[in-house]
Amino acid sequence: MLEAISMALSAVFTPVGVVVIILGTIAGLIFGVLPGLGGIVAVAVLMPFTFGMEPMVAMLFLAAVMGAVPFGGSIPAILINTPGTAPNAATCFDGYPMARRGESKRALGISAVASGLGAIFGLVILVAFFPVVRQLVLAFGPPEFFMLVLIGLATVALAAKGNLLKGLVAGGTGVLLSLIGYSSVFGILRFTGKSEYLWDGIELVPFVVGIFALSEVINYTLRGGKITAMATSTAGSVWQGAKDVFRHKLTFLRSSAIGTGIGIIPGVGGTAANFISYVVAKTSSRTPEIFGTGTPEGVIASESSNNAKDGGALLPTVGFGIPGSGEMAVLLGAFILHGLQPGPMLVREHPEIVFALLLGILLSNILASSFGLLMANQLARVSMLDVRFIAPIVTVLCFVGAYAIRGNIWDVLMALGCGIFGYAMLKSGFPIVCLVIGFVLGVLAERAFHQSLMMSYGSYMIFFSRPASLLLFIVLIVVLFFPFINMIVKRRKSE
Amino acid sequence: MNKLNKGRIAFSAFLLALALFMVIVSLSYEAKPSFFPLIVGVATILMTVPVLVDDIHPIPLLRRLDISIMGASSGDSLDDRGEQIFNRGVLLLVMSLIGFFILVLLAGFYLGIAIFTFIFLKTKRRGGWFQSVITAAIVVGLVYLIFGLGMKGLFLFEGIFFGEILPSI
Repeated sequence: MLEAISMALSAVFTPVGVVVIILGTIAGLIFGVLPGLGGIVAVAVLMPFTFGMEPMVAMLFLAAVMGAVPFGGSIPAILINTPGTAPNAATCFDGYPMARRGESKRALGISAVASGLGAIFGLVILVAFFPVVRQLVLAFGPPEFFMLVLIGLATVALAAKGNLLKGLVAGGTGVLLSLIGYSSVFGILRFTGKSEYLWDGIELVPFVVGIFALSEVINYTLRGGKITAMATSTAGSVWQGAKDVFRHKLTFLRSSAIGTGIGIIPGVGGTAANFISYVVAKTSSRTPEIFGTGTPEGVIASESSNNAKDGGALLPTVGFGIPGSGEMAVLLGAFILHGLQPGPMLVREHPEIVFALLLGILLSNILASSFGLLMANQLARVSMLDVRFIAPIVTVLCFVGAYAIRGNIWDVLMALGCGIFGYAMLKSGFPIVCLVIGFVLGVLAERAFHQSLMMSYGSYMIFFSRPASLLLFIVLIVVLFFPFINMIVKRRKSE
Repeated sequence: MNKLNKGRIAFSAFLLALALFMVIVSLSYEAKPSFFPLIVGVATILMTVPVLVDDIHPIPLLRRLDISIMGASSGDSLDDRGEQIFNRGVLLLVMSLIGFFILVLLAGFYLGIAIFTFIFLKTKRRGGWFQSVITAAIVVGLVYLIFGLGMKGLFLFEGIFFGEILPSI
């Protein structure tokens, strides 16, 4: 482990490493400040630009992007009551009232310190559990992996905003789309028709670029106007905000722990962590009535949890190849793009890449917090740009990004088709995150399923006879029936 | 039935048709390669049918399966049923994106980007001539910097008009 850490350190502290971390941090801050874009779009749009980079450098860059997005998102949440990303939504509740009464710098100070320390908390937990994860992943076989994939899909459907059934339909559609093309398990072509283009299946990058970014471009352009209509000045003391975090250390520790814990659950992501931390902070506070009126505790709870979740979300992503969040699903694509297979093999054979990711996230959080404090006003002005000015630039980035991956012009058409498909999904109330996670996990699930059957000579009992697999199956059932259980509990309470 | 419902119904029906198509096609494969798509396809169909029915005529039970961000059942629909999916504005925008793709196909990335960015800014944003031209030039310049110079070995598509050959589809 020490050798891996020193390898990662030597990759980070080179001129190239430092430059990509700075560039990634700036890009992440910009994507974070622009409401609606967020971490998933940032990683999806910027991933093609890592093509041609060394895997370690590419991972550093993407980690820096992911690390900086949450703090970037808190800036418009505090200054103009518009969360830059969904996991910053709860920051508006107290951050904006603070800004309105002239304490915007204090709120930004809280956000910067809580974000930076929250991320460190999550990463420390990850490093502490890393040896355990290594042991755990080695004990996991294909049946357990298959069950874990199913749990991942179910929890994503459950956690996504919208209808559970629609989440599952989106996940199922994603799995089906992932099966198009050459099957390495059976050595045959499936669902390709007469198309040669589809022999390799639907390429991940055009798919995610279209689904996340182009659909958002359509959404934005139609809405028109400026991203936000108002702005406030930053006033108050940044240092006072920094001290607030240490004054409310219990709130900080509890929220960071919640963020890390929720991050570990595949697919749940930062939005749930953000709201749950906020609600827990409010209900456990001695003065819950001041939450929502501009209390520092509210900002601490929200910002520490949404940064701590990255460390947690990295655990299932690198350890099992199961994305811990939407960003991690796209990051899995980046791993594959650079010839790295996420999961037990990566942990065993390339631990230095895992530590490079951790260092990238850590350093970008520290950089983003420092940079953000100095440049908060300037960054917030990006949100005042006309969306119709940003739209063609993002479209160009999407088209070029989709093409760059393998130099096939039809990938651009695929991204465009996926963009229209994603927009229709969005407007029909289908959570697109479920579609993408289904798409990423589909082929892996099929492989694990057939490997399991090969192990058991065709007996399906292998999924229920192994203790870990059976336990995961029970968890799956509980997850799937959660809305019904919740409905019954609510009805009983109201009676 | 208003426009909105038609759009939602059409999209749910499209998803159903897609799953149905994949199930039917997978029946033509041998047992093992067809097993997984069959299972997932049938499960997706079974879940899409109530969604489609709900789009036509809301089912109260399904509304109760709406999940809030907190992961709890809210009992109220989170779908914005008042929003239209495809209207004139969406179709125009989609057409302009398709137009951009055709431009790239014919004239290549650099020319396509310049023309698309300029026309988009001039028409959608109603920007001034000078600002639109300068912005388009900056965008092309940035793409050239990143791809033309930054990523050596990667050549952006130059367009059929300039002798580029289309890969097989």
